[in-house]
Amino acid sequence: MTDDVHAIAGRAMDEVAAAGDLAELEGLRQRYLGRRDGTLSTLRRGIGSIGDVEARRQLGQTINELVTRVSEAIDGRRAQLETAGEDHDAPLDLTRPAPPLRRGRLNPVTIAAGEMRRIFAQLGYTVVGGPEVEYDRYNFTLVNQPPGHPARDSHDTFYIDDSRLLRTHTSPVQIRSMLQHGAPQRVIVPGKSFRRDYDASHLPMFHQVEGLCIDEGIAISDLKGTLEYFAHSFFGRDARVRWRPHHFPFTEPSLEMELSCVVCGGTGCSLCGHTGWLELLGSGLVHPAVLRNGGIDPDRYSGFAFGMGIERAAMLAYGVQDIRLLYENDVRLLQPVSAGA
Amino acid sequence: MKVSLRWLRDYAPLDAPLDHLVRTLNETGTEVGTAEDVAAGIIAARITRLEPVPKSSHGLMLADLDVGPIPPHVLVDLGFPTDPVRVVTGAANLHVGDLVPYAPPGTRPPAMDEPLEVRAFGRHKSPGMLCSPVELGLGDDATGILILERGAPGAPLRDLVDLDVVLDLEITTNRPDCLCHVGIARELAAGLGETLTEPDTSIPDSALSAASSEQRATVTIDDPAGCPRFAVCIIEGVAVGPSPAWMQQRLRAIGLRPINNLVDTTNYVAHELGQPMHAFDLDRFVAAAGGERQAEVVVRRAQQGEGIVTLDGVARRLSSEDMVVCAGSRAVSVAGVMGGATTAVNESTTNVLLEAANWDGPTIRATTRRLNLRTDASTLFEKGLSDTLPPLALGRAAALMAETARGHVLRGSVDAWPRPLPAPGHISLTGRYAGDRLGMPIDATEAGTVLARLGFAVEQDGASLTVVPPHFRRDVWIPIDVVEEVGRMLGYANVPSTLPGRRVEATAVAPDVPPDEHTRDVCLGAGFDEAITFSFTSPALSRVLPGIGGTRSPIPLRNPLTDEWSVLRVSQLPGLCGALATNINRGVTGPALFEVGRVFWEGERQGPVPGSTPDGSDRKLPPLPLEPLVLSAAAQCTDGAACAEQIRHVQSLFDRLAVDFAGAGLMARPAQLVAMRSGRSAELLIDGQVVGVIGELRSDVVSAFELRGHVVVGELRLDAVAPDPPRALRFRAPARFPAIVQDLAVTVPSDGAAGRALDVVRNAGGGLLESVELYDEYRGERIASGRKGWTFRLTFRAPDRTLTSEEAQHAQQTILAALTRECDAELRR
Repeated sequence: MTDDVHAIAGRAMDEVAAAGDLAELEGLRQRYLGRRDGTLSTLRRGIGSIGDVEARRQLGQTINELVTRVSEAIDGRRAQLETAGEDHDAPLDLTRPAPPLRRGRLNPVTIAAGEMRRIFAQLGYTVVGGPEVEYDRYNFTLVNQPPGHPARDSHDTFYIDDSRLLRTHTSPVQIRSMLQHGAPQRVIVPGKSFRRDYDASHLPMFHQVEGLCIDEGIAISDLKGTLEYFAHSFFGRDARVRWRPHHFPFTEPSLEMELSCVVCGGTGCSLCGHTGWLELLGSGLVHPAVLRNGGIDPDRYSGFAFGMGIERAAMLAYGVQDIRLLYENDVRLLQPVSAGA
Repeated sequence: MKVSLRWLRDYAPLDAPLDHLVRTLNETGTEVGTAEDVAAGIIAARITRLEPVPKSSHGLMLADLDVGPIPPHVLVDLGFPTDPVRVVTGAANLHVGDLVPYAPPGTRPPAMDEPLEVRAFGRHKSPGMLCSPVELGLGDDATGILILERGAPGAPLRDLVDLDVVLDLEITTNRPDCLCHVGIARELAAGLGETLTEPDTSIPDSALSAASSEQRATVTIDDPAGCPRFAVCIIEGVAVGPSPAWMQQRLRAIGLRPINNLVDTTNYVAHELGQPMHAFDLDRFVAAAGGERQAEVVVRRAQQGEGIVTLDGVARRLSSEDMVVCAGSRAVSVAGVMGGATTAVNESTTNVLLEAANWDGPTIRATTRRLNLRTDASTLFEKGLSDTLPPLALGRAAALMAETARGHVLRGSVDAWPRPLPAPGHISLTGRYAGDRLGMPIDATEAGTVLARLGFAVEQDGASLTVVPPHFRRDVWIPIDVVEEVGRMLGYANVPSTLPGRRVEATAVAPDVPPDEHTRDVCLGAGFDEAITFSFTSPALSRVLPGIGGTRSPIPLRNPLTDEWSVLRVSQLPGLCGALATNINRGVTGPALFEVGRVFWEGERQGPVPGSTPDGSDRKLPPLPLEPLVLSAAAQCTDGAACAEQIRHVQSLFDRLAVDFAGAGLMARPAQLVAMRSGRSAELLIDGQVVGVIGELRSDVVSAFELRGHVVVGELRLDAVAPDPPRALRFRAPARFPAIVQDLAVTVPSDGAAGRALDVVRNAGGGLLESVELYDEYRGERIASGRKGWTFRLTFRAPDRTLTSEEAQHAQQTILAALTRECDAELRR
């Protein structure tokens, strides 16, 4: 009897291995394992007639093992037949370039402004804003440029009426932020500015980022450290800076930060006018009169401020050669090129 | 401003190498644009052969030159032989074998006004010339060619002889005292630790006449606010002629053309001391006033419309705000800007009335702007000069005129000084204060030394300094101004770099950023490219495509650059459609752009702008306009179907933002909007307020913007959608009890609006209706004509128990009844 069982199982295994399709395999499953009249099921039912308990137990165990083996063989063959079918499906040419995942692209000015926000956020600066249509007072008078001040001329202001204008810089937000938030504070103000100027290097609308840090004991050294950190974060570790005394009405002392030329690295080229250096930003300690205008006691607090053209920073960092390209809105500009291209 | 290094060396040694001098200027605040080699391109050449020009009656010689191994390429370009180079010279001091300076065509010997051109002598063309010492700015000897004592052919002349260097400097507006040679020499000497020797401004006795200036001139200042000081002196018996070579060389070096010894002297002193001067012909001045012998000088405001012919021969009309110098009642000079033609010195002048005055800076600046006339003098005066300077300049110029024009200076001057300018007083500070502001220890003694070199009077008491700025420093008034002087002279490179301590709490300053970053991110994900357009537009385009601006009038600029940019935008769409057109014209297919920016709406701002001065003075002014932050989108599509899809895409984008910011989608209300196709445009609302518009442009508007095809536009007010402060994030546990999902198929009239129907479903569904989706719309054979089929997928769920199918069925019946009642719906069978 046991030999019969093994013979049947052996035949079943051969037939399963030879099964050519899923229907044939299903037939084999019915033939051998079918609950009602499968050959092995029938045999299993038949062992009840064996009298010897030990023989009955052994035969039962053997049959169970063989059922498991045949069942596994059928499952294995089924998987083989199924995946064999998949292989016959149309092959996919994965060497063909995948269609691009369409995602819009940002203007380099926005990219640069975002980069600046992130860098200064790391230093604890909060972004604040102010109106683009400003009062003359906030744009000029309160930042130390009273009527008749020479610096007003160079600004070439767009006026709406006697008291309202398009802000010529983001500096009026210094006053508004001081009046709103008091001391201490650290803020940056990215935003649009407007000057009545239109030529190869000037646009009537441009973006500036203004920075303001007010606390007790703020010194020129803090200004230097902060903006050097910025320069290295924005332009890379290799960027070098130098400081030159300058003059701005709203800071005293005033300093200009220059960046080693991004093209020649400092050896001199046409971009840097053969000086090796590029003007990047104006800065200084906030003038005591400006602090006072912002409601802050200059005897207790000091602060530094800086202002920088975002277009210029973006052009230098990303290799855009003509400022006008930034506002032509030709979407082909927005496609970054690989380094060296 | 140009300065000559040789001239600077009159006042201090300054013998450090040029790059050291340049660095010192840069580091102390005088920006050096260029250090110009005035003899660039001039080289040494050896004479290999000399022969007279045949039949020359002027003794001209032909000189063959060895110009070294690499001949100047200009010779090759011009087609001249280079081995040897043959030039024509008139000098008599040359011998074969001499090494001489050779200036090829295109170079400019320092004493020449223009670069050299090829010059023809009879049939001989001379490519350039050999130079005399005077032509090189090296002295007075014009008789022969300079013979070089060392060097080889081809060597740059700069390496062989001591030539002048011209520095082009940028002087900040607060430092008019640096707009002259003494001022720059002072800065350099202070930076290098050298001693400054100022020019002698006294007149030698030998030049003085017995008579006094007072006998021949009177000065009356009618308007001391415009003219705080006006001083004159008189030089008699001058002989007008060329000024001496050294003076001409210096003026030429800084770009001035020598005229005669009188004019050159005033120019020289102006560029030496920084006090502009004017030389009148005394006799013409007296005649202009109708006087006999005495010059009656009157300084006053011009009469409105008063005329004057200035030195440049231009007739000008003055305004009542301009200052004039008058001979009697007749205006003869536009104060501080330019003298008049009738009283100017000329070749026949014998007596000079020399003026040195102090003018109100803003007045002069306003005049130069009105007249559109900027001169060396006005550039100085408009910045506000020291009123101590005029007598110094008079003395210096008179002495020079006596020397260069053999004149006699009348004793004394006529000096009206009705309103001395407020002088900087004592300023006290400590080394500690300076150190705290600079961020490094400052020693009071060291600071005092630096300040003294800059001309400050310094008194030190231990760690305390009391300083008085010199008269010419009208920019130093308070202690921090003095700190700047110390800082720049000690060098900011020596200040350490530190980061301030983090004493500011991150929450101390409330963020006031409009939600632009997230908006941009969502737009990028939707496949839109960013545009940034100008905030100005034209009134016409504002009318054609008002977008979210609706019927608002744009704010006009008082002084626009062009008509196309004459008003502030009420919508970004005109600009964005312009950008779309740019792309289409350049062959970009199907551009889709977005912009995030502000628009300007007059009269809608509520309350003062945050951070206004507490004095309330803004209330007297017209309110600032409201500046809503707006997202605009515009896209071009090839056909109507793509366009319909794109409209829905923009709508999805706007909805996404509304959900992100406000937690709810936008309601669309079909509307006939300006510039948009009817039946394809809508207003978008949130809480009943219109916050956006969307639609397809009418074809005439498409053409007006030089666009093609179908154009979809949309505009959304981010300021209205995004609450300030931003919505707090909340989450809740997913539902635990099963939902019952049922489809409800109905037919409705074919013009039925889905938005309305969905509202009806939601209202009728009550608390058990978790969501409703309109997932199918169709028309076809099995639907009666004039109607369309809708299938709603209704999801019912109870939060606290398993819903029974009877409950769901009942709710669906209620919904169907409401749809039937409100939307003329019929159940589809």
